[in-house]
Amino acid sequence: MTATDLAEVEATLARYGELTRGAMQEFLADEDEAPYLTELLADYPGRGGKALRPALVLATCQAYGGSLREAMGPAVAIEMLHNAFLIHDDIEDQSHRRRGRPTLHRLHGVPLALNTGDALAMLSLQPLRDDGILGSRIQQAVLEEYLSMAHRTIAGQAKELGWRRDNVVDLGPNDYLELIGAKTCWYTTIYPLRVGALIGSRGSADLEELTRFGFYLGAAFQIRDDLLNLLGTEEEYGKELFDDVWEGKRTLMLIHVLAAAAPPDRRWLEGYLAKPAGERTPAEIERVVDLMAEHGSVGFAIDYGHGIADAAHVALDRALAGVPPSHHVDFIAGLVPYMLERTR
Amino acid sequence: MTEPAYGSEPGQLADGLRPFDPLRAVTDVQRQAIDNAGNIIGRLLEMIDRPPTDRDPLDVPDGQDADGPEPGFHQIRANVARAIDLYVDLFRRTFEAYADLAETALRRRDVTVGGDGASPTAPLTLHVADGVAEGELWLHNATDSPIGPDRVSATPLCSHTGQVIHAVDVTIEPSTLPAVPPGESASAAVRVDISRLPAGRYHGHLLTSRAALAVDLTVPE
Repeated sequence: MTATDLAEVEATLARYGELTRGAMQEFLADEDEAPYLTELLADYPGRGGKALRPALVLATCQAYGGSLREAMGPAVAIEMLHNAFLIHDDIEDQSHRRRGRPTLHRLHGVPLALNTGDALAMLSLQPLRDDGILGSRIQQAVLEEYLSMAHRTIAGQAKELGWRRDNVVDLGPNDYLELIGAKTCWYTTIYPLRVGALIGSRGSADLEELTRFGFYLGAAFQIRDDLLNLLGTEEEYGKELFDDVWEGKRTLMLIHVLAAAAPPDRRWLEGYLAKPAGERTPAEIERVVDLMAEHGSVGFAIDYGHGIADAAHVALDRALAGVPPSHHVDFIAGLVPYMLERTR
Repeated sequence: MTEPAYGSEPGQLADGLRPFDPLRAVTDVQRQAIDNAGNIIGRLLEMIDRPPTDRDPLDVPDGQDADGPEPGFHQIRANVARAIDLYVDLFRRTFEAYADLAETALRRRDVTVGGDGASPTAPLTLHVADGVAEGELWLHNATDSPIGPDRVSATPLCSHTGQVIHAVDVTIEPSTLPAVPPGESASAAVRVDISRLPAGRYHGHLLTSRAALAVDLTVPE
């Protein structure tokens, strides 16, 4: 992917992001002014973000012949839910920064941040109400997709938190893929693709092939996200580097180094992961990163991500077979290499 | 949990990951990624509960061949489905609007007047005996608040032959109904002296400020 291609994808994402945030602000503005809530609701959405999820909904809908207007409700809904998840994730992970600024719970305290996350999650259903644009059949199908996606995502997040609490270390790439398939892929790529196609094709699209493509695309996204936490710049990444290592997040690199390290190092790693995050020192974090470098864990994850992207290319061709060529299709195809090269 | 496929045991790397053979390592890791991901997504797809739309008659597979449908076919089908959805929705909304109206009418809570024992819509038939016609008007308050007091008056009663019983000859006792609490009723006696009236069938109305009641009086020969 050339720099121009990457810039084009990012420019398209920015356009869709602007549209979505505008529509989201309208939805939020409809709510009555509430002290300790209204301002907080607008905080994370106002910080920007990639807008990958709404962009996929809108582009896929248009690729299948639908209109922006038809897909805007579900696009806004998923972006609101994403922001709700971010607030809760930041609390669960005790993160300090999000999108270049202090996290919401650092600014306002955990109780108010939790409440704001709850509110965003519940309000995200509002754009899915029957507004007469989609018709009740498609509206109902979209709602079913949304509820299914939410359940899978939360179950995936629960699994990851459980692994960390119980210090589960006997893991392989399949476990990692199953985890991110649930906690990341469903709401980041699979749901947006399925819903976009559902709306654009009025239910006639082959959702199974799109699901396959969405899984590969989402997996590539998450692997890159894990890598950026080690290799990115804080300015672009928007969060603290090495956060995942500090939190003991089961990334592909961590799973790899656990398997690749010599027994004494592995025992040390297990001991490190068994400690509460607050007791892990910067020197220990540095040692984990050094072990990853020593055993080629980063290189492994990069290569693994490229393999997933190859699979995504093949799946994309099958998923969009019969869909007329358009710049929407080009944008979706451009997301595959974007996932490997993005810096934020 | 599955065992890591890239190392036969913890702490031991597969051959393909040794640093001396980077090209082969890349190929093996990528192949492994593709295989792993293919297995996982296969299992995920088996678990997916198809949403209701997949079972919709409109979505019956169309027997498309391996090369896929013509590029325009999806679009045509989507447009047809969109139009059908529109009509189905229109029908549904129309039906719901009528259903709402019917339900509102059925649940209507209002003030009604009627005769003793008769349905609210039936006219009050005055019973004749000893040169006098008598009946009873009832006012029922089915609202949530008290009503009245309410004055009751009569219109002239006319026969088909042009005979008229003037309103002043219709006696209503009491002529003003007292205030009626919610869920309760009040009545007034209606009386007409028919001793000097020509025979015939007379019709008219009893009026309150909220409702009217038809009156039917037959004066025998």
